[in-house]
Amino acid sequence: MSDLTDDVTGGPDPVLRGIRDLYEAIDPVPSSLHTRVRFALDLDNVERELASVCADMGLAAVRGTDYARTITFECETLTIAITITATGADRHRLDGWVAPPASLPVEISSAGSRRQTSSDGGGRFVFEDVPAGEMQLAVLPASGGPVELVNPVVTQPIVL
Amino acid sequence: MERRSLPVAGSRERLEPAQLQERPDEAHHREVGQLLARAKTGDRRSLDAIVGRFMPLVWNIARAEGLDTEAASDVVQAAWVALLERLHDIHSPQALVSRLITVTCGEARRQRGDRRAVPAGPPDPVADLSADLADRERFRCLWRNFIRLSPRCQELLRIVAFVDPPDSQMVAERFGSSTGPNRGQCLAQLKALLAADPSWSMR
Repeated sequence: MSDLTDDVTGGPDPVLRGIRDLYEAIDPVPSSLHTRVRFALDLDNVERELASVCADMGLAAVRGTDYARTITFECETLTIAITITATGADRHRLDGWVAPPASLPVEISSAGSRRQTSSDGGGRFVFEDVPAGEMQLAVLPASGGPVELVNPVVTQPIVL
Repeated sequence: MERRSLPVAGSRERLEPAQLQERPDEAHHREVGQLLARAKTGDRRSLDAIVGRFMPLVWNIARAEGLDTEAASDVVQAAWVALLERLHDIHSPQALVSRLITVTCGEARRQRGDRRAVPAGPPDPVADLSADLADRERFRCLWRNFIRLSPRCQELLRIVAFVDPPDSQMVAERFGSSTGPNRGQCLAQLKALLAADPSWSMR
Protein backbone atom coordinates (compact mmCIF):
# COMPACT_ATOMS: atom_id res chain seq x y z
CA MET A 1 0.00 0.00 0.00
CA SER A 2 2.93 2.29 0.56
CA ASP A 3 3.37 2.81 -3.18
CA LEU A 4 -0.02 4.51 -3.31
CA THR A 5 0.21 6.55 -0.18
CA ASP A 6 2.30 9.55 0.46
CA ASP A 7 4.64 8.67 3.31
CA VAL A 8 4.52 12.08 4.90
CA THR A 9 0.86 12.94 4.90
CA GLY A 10 -0.90 9.60 4.54
CA GLY A 11 -2.77 11.23 1.68
CA PRO A 12 -2.69 9.99 -1.89
CA ASP A 13 0.53 9.68 -3.81
CA PRO A 14 1.28 13.04 -5.50
CA VAL A 15 1.47 11.51 -8.97
CA LEU A 16 -1.89 9.81 -8.48
CA ARG A 17 -3.20 13.11 -7.18
CA GLY A 18 -1.91 14.67 -10.39
CA ILE A 19 -3.74 12.07 -12.51
CA ARG A 20 -6.91 12.82 -10.60
CA ASP A 21 -6.52 16.58 -11.13
CA LEU A 22 -5.83 15.97 -14.78
CA TYR A 23 -8.95 13.89 -15.37
CA GLU A 24 -11.05 16.31 -13.35
CA ALA A 25 -9.87 18.98 -15.77
CA ILE A 26 -10.15 17.13 -19.08
CA ASP A 27 -13.20 14.95 -18.34
CA PRO A 28 -15.16 16.52 -15.50
CA VAL A 29 -18.35 15.04 -14.08
CA PRO A 30 -21.13 16.87 -15.99
CA SER A 31 -22.54 19.62 -13.81
CA SER A 32 -26.09 18.36 -14.11
CA LEU A 33 -25.30 14.77 -13.18
CA HIS A 34 -25.33 15.17 -9.43
CA THR A 35 -28.72 16.85 -9.58
CA ARG A 36 -30.00 14.14 -11.87
CA VAL A 37 -28.81 11.35 -9.57
CA ARG A 38 -30.10 13.16 -6.54
CA PHE A 39 -33.45 13.43 -8.16
CA ALA A 40 -33.50 9.77 -9.15
CA LEU A 41 -32.72 8.77 -5.58
CA ASP A 42 -35.27 11.12 -4.09
CA LEU A 43 -38.13 10.38 -6.40
CA ASP A 44 -39.74 7.82 -4.15
CA ASN A 45 -39.78 10.32 -1.36
CA VAL A 46 -41.98 13.27 -0.76
CA GLU A 47 -38.98 15.49 -0.36
CA ARG A 48 -38.51 17.34 -3.61
CA GLU A 49 -37.25 20.72 -2.63
CA LEU A 50 -35.12 20.85 -5.74
CA ALA A 51 -37.84 20.39 -8.27
CA SER A 52 -40.02 23.11 -9.63
CA VAL A 53 -43.54 21.81 -9.80
CA CYS A 54 -45.54 22.81 -12.82
CA ALA A 55 -49.19 23.47 -12.63
CA ASP A 56 -51.73 21.69 -14.77
CA MET A 57 -53.29 24.41 -16.89
CA GLY A 58 -56.38 22.34 -17.35
CA LEU A 59 -57.74 20.84 -20.49
CA ALA A 60 -56.08 23.09 -23.01
CA ALA A 61 -57.68 21.26 -25.86
CA VAL A 62 -60.14 18.48 -26.06
CA ARG A 63 -59.92 16.35 -29.13
CA GLY A 64 -62.88 15.10 -31.06
CA THR A 65 -62.94 11.76 -29.31
CA ASP A 66 -63.55 10.86 -25.74
CA TYR A 67 -60.30 9.01 -25.64
CA ALA A 68 -57.75 11.76 -26.11
CA ARG A 69 -57.06 14.85 -24.09
CA THR A 70 -54.24 17.33 -24.06
CA ILE A 71 -52.84 18.85 -20.91
CA THR A 72 -50.31 21.63 -20.74
CA PHE A 73 -48.00 22.21 -17.81
CA GLU A 74 -46.52 25.66 -17.55
CA CYS A 75 -43.20 25.73 -15.77
CA GLU A 76 -40.80 28.54 -15.18
CA THR A 77 -38.18 27.16 -17.52
CA LEU A 78 -40.22 25.14 -19.98
CA THR A 79 -43.64 24.00 -21.03
CA ILE A 80 -44.66 20.37 -21.15
CA ALA A 81 -47.70 19.34 -23.15
CA ILE A 82 -49.07 15.84 -23.25
CA THR A 83 -51.80 14.17 -25.21
CA ILE A 84 -53.24 11.13 -23.53
CA THR A 85 -54.85 8.49 -25.70
CA ALA A 86 -56.62 5.46 -24.33
CA THR A 87 -55.25 2.40 -26.07
CA GLY A 88 -57.03 -0.37 -24.21
CA ALA A 89 -58.62 -1.23 -20.94
CA ASP A 90 -56.85 0.97 -18.40
CA ARG A 91 -53.94 1.55 -20.77
CA HIS A 92 -52.82 4.83 -22.27
CA ARG A 93 -50.38 6.22 -24.71
CA LEU A 94 -48.74 9.49 -23.84
CA ASP A 95 -47.44 11.79 -26.57
CA GLY A 96 -45.49 14.64 -25.14
CA TRP A 97 -43.73 17.81 -26.21
CA VAL A 98 -41.23 19.90 -24.39
CA ALA A 99 -40.92 23.55 -25.35
CA PRO A 100 -38.57 25.15 -26.13
CA PRO A 101 -37.68 22.02 -28.08
CA ALA A 102 -34.75 20.16 -26.59
CA SER A 103 -33.52 16.66 -26.10
CA LEU A 104 -33.85 15.99 -22.38
CA PRO A 105 -34.34 12.94 -20.17
CA VAL A 106 -38.03 12.52 -19.33
CA GLU A 107 -39.22 10.26 -16.58
CA ILE A 108 -42.69 8.98 -15.80
CA SER A 109 -43.71 7.62 -12.42
CA SER A 110 -46.91 5.67 -12.28
CA ALA A 111 -48.25 2.70 -10.40
CA GLY A 112 -45.19 2.64 -8.20
CA SER A 113 -42.66 2.32 -10.99
CA ARG A 114 -40.55 4.68 -13.10
CA ARG A 115 -39.58 4.68 -16.72
CA GLN A 116 -37.26 6.98 -18.53
CA THR A 117 -36.99 8.11 -22.10
CA SER A 118 -35.56 11.15 -23.87
CA SER A 119 -37.28 13.79 -25.89
CA ASP A 120 -35.91 14.12 -29.39
CA GLY A 121 -34.35 17.29 -30.77
CA GLY A 122 -37.84 18.59 -31.55
CA GLY A 123 -38.86 18.11 -27.93
CA ARG A 124 -41.11 15.10 -28.59
CA PHE A 125 -41.34 12.05 -26.39
CA VAL A 126 -43.66 9.07 -26.09
CA PHE A 127 -44.60 6.70 -23.32
CA GLU A 128 -46.56 3.65 -24.41
CA ASP A 129 -48.71 1.42 -22.29
CA VAL A 130 -49.09 3.66 -19.27
CA PRO A 131 -51.47 2.14 -16.71
CA ALA A 132 -54.50 4.00 -15.38
CA GLY A 133 -54.12 5.80 -12.10
CA GLU A 134 -51.97 8.62 -10.84
CA MET A 135 -48.91 9.53 -12.85
CA GLN A 136 -46.32 12.24 -12.79
CA LEU A 137 -43.76 13.41 -15.32
CA ALA A 138 -40.33 14.80 -14.64
CA VAL A 139 -37.96 16.46 -17.08
CA LEU A 140 -34.39 16.08 -15.88
CA PRO A 141 -31.38 18.28 -16.45
CA ALA A 142 -28.92 17.32 -19.15
CA SER A 143 -25.84 19.16 -20.18
CA GLY A 144 -25.04 20.60 -23.55
CA GLY A 145 -28.52 21.15 -24.96
CA PRO A 146 -30.32 24.37 -25.85
CA VAL A 147 -32.32 24.23 -22.59
CA GLU A 148 -30.09 24.44 -19.56
CA LEU A 149 -32.11 23.07 -16.65
CA VAL A 150 -30.47 23.41 -13.29
CA ASN A 151 -33.06 21.39 -11.43
CA PRO A 152 -35.58 18.80 -12.49
CA VAL A 153 -39.01 19.96 -13.51
CA VAL A 154 -41.85 17.90 -12.14
CA THR A 155 -45.48 18.05 -13.18
CA GLN A 156 -48.34 17.96 -10.79
CA PRO A 157 -49.66 14.43 -10.50
CA ILE A 158 -52.59 13.75 -12.78
CA VAL A 159 -54.95 10.83 -12.94
CA LEU A 160 -55.22 8.89 -16.16
CA MET B 1 1.54 -0.33 7.04
CA GLU B 2 1.23 0.87 10.62
CA ARG B 3 3.05 4.15 10.37
CA ARG B 4 0.94 6.32 12.58
CA SER B 5 3.16 8.28 14.88
CA LEU B 6 2.29 7.98 18.51
CA PRO B 7 1.58 11.15 20.41
CA VAL B 8 4.61 12.51 22.17
CA ALA B 9 4.64 11.68 25.86
CA GLY B 10 3.36 14.58 27.88
CA SER B 11 1.38 16.05 25.04
CA ARG B 12 -1.36 13.50 25.37
CA GLU B 13 -3.54 15.49 27.73
CA ARG B 14 -3.65 18.41 25.28
CA LEU B 15 -4.93 16.31 22.45
CA GLU B 16 -8.57 16.04 21.66
CA PRO B 17 -9.92 12.59 20.87
CA ALA B 18 -8.83 10.46 18.02
CA GLN B 19 -9.55 12.88 15.16
CA LEU B 20 -6.53 15.07 15.80
CA GLN B 21 -4.09 12.24 15.47
CA GLU B 22 -5.87 10.57 12.62
CA ARG B 23 -4.20 10.16 9.31
CA PRO B 24 -6.31 11.45 6.41
CA ASP B 25 -7.11 7.92 5.25
CA GLU B 26 -8.41 6.95 8.68
CA ALA B 27 -10.48 10.11 8.88
CA HIS B 28 -11.91 9.23 5.49
CA HIS B 29 -13.13 5.83 6.65
CA ARG B 30 -14.57 7.25 9.83
CA GLU B 31 -16.48 9.95 7.97
CA VAL B 32 -17.79 7.61 5.32
CA GLY B 33 -18.78 5.13 8.02
CA GLN B 34 -20.81 7.81 9.77
CA LEU B 35 -22.44 8.94 6.54
CA LEU B 36 -23.29 5.37 5.66
CA ALA B 37 -24.85 4.68 9.06
CA ARG B 38 -26.98 7.80 8.83
CA ALA B 39 -27.95 7.23 5.20
CA LYS B 40 -29.21 3.79 6.15
CA THR B 41 -31.60 5.35 8.62
CA GLY B 42 -33.04 7.38 5.76
CA ASP B 43 -31.08 10.58 6.22
CA ARG B 44 -31.12 12.19 2.76
CA ARG B 45 -28.37 14.66 3.53
CA SER B 46 -25.94 11.89 4.35
CA LEU B 47 -26.90 9.99 1.24
CA ASP B 48 -26.40 13.15 -0.75
CA ALA B 49 -22.96 13.61 0.81
CA ILE B 50 -22.06 10.03 -0.16
CA VAL B 51 -23.21 10.71 -3.73
CA GLY B 52 -21.09 13.86 -3.86
CA ARG B 53 -18.07 12.15 -2.44
CA PHE B 54 -18.07 9.12 -4.72
CA MET B 55 -19.52 10.66 -7.86
CA PRO B 56 -16.07 11.31 -9.41
CA LEU B 57 -15.09 7.66 -8.89
CA VAL B 58 -18.32 6.33 -10.38
CA TRP B 59 -18.05 8.72 -13.32
CA ASN B 60 -14.48 7.78 -14.06
CA ILE B 61 -15.22 4.06 -13.90
CA ALA B 62 -18.03 4.53 -16.42
CA ARG B 63 -15.81 6.64 -18.67
CA ALA B 64 -12.86 4.26 -18.36
CA GLU B 65 -15.25 1.55 -19.56
CA GLY B 66 -15.29 3.41 -22.86
CA LEU B 67 -18.73 5.04 -22.70
CA ASP B 68 -19.48 8.47 -24.14
CA THR B 69 -20.67 11.17 -21.76
CA GLU B 70 -24.36 10.55 -22.37
CA ALA B 71 -24.14 6.79 -21.92
CA ALA B 72 -21.87 7.25 -18.91
CA SER B 73 -24.43 9.60 -17.33
CA ASP B 74 -27.14 6.97 -17.74
CA VAL B 75 -24.86 4.35 -16.22
CA VAL B 76 -23.98 6.57 -13.27
CA GLN B 77 -27.63 7.25 -12.53
CA ALA B 78 -28.55 3.57 -12.78
CA ALA B 79 -25.60 2.61 -10.59
CA TRP B 80 -26.67 4.93 -7.79
CA VAL B 81 -30.25 3.70 -7.93
CA ALA B 82 -28.95 0.12 -7.77
CA LEU B 83 -26.72 1.02 -4.84
CA LEU B 84 -29.56 2.58 -2.89
CA GLU B 85 -31.69 -0.51 -3.35
CA ARG B 86 -29.09 -2.57 -1.51
CA LEU B 87 -27.81 0.04 0.91
CA HIS B 88 -29.00 -1.85 3.96
CA ASP B 89 -26.69 -4.76 3.02
CA ILE B 90 -23.60 -2.56 3.11
CA HIS B 91 -21.82 -2.58 6.43
CA SER B 92 -18.51 -0.80 5.92
CA PRO B 93 -16.99 2.06 3.91
CA GLN B 94 -14.89 -0.45 1.99
CA ALA B 95 -17.96 -2.52 1.17
CA LEU B 96 -19.61 0.65 -0.09
CA VAL B 97 -16.79 1.33 -2.55
CA SER B 98 -16.74 -2.31 -3.58
CA ARG B 99 -20.49 -2.33 -4.20
CA LEU B 100 -20.27 0.91 -6.19
CA ILE B 101 -17.66 -0.65 -8.44
CA THR B 102 -19.78 -3.77 -8.93
CA VAL B 103 -22.95 -1.90 -9.87
CA THR B 104 -21.16 0.65 -12.07
CA CYS B 105 -19.23 -1.97 -14.02
CA GLY B 106 -22.37 -4.09 -14.33
CA GLU B 107 -24.44 -1.16 -15.62
CA ALA B 108 -21.63 -0.08 -17.95
CA ARG B 109 -21.36 -3.51 -19.51
CA ARG B 110 -25.13 -3.71 -19.88
CA GLN B 111 -25.20 -0.30 -21.52
CA ARG B 112 -22.29 -1.00 -23.82
CA GLY B 113 -23.61 -4.38 -24.93
CA ASP B 114 -21.63 -5.59 -27.89
CA ARG B 115 -20.38 -2.19 -28.91
CA ARG B 116 -16.69 -1.61 -28.83
CA ALA B 117 -15.17 0.94 -26.55
CA VAL B 118 -15.04 4.42 -28.06
CA PRO B 119 -11.65 5.45 -29.40
CA ALA B 120 -9.43 7.47 -27.13
CA GLY B 121 -10.02 11.20 -26.96
CA PRO B 122 -8.13 13.85 -28.89
CA PRO B 123 -4.33 13.51 -28.80
CA ASP B 124 -3.84 16.56 -26.64
CA PRO B 125 -6.98 17.22 -24.56
CA VAL B 126 -4.89 19.45 -22.34
CA ALA B 127 -4.57 22.02 -25.11
CA ASP B 128 -8.22 23.03 -24.74
CA LEU B 129 -8.04 23.54 -21.01
CA SER B 130 -8.69 26.88 -19.47
CA ALA B 131 -6.39 26.07 -16.56
CA ASP B 132 -3.72 28.62 -15.82
CA LEU B 133 -0.40 28.30 -17.55
CA ALA B 134 1.54 26.53 -14.82
CA ASP B 135 -1.20 23.94 -14.37
CA ARG B 136 -1.47 23.47 -18.09
CA GLU B 137 2.24 22.81 -18.40
CA ARG B 138 2.10 20.34 -15.54
CA PHE B 139 -0.96 18.62 -17.04
CA ARG B 140 0.61 18.52 -20.47
CA CYS B 141 3.75 16.91 -19.15
CA LEU B 142 1.81 14.40 -17.07
CA TRP B 143 -0.51 13.58 -19.96
CA ARG B 144 2.36 13.18 -22.44
CA ASN B 145 3.92 10.56 -20.21
CA PHE B 146 0.70 9.01 -19.01
CA ILE B 147 -0.41 8.07 -22.53
CA ARG B 148 2.87 6.24 -23.07
CA LEU B 149 1.65 3.66 -20.55
CA SER B 150 -0.27 0.63 -21.77
CA PRO B 151 -4.07 1.16 -21.98
CA ARG B 152 -4.36 -1.34 -19.13
CA CYS B 153 -2.10 0.77 -16.90
CA GLN B 154 -3.87 3.97 -17.90
CA GLU B 155 -7.25 2.54 -16.95
CA LEU B 156 -5.97 1.14 -13.68
CA LEU B 157 -4.24 4.34 -12.58
CA ARG B 158 -7.16 6.48 -13.67
CA ILE B 159 -9.56 4.56 -11.44
CA VAL B 160 -7.16 4.16 -8.52
CA ALA B 161 -6.50 7.92 -8.64
CA PHE B 162 -10.13 8.51 -7.69
CA VAL B 163 -10.06 6.20 -4.71
CA ASP B 164 -8.94 7.37 -1.30
CA PRO B 165 -5.85 5.56 0.00
CA PRO B 166 -7.51 3.18 2.47
CA ASP B 167 -9.48 1.56 -0.34
CA SER B 168 -6.91 1.73 -3.11
CA GLN B 169 -5.49 -1.72 -2.46
CA MET B 170 -8.90 -3.35 -2.73
CA VAL B 171 -9.83 -1.34 -5.83
CA ALA B 172 -6.53 -2.04 -7.55
CA GLU B 173 -7.10 -5.74 -6.98
CA ARG B 174 -10.62 -5.51 -8.37
CA PHE B 175 -9.37 -3.91 -11.57
CA GLY B 176 -6.04 -5.64 -11.82
CA SER B 177 -5.53 -8.95 -13.55
CA SER B 178 -3.31 -11.83 -12.61
CA THR B 179 -1.39 -11.53 -15.87
CA GLY B 180 -1.09 -7.79 -16.48
CA PRO B 181 0.97 -5.25 -14.56
CA ASN B 182 -0.35 -4.28 -11.15
CA ARG B 183 -0.93 -0.74 -10.02
CA GLY B 184 2.43 -0.53 -8.28
CA GLN B 185 4.24 -1.45 -11.49
CA CYS B 186 2.08 0.94 -13.54
CA LEU B 187 2.76 3.79 -11.16
CA ALA B 188 6.47 2.98 -11.06
CA GLN B 189 6.57 3.05 -14.89
CA LEU B 190 4.90 6.44 -14.92
CA LYS B 191 7.23 7.81 -12.27
CA ALA B 192 10.24 6.58 -14.22
CA LEU B 193 8.95 8.33 -17.35
CA LEU B 194 8.33 11.53 -15.40
CA ALA B 195 11.74 11.40 -13.78
CA ALA B 196 13.28 11.27 -17.25
CA ASP B 197 11.22 14.24 -18.42
CA PRO B 198 13.08 17.50 -17.67
CA SER B 199 9.89 19.57 -17.64
CA TRP B 200 8.38 17.55 -14.80
CA SER B 201 8.74 19.71 -11.75
CA MET B 202 5.90 18.69 -9.50
CA ARG B 203 8.05 17.07 -6.87
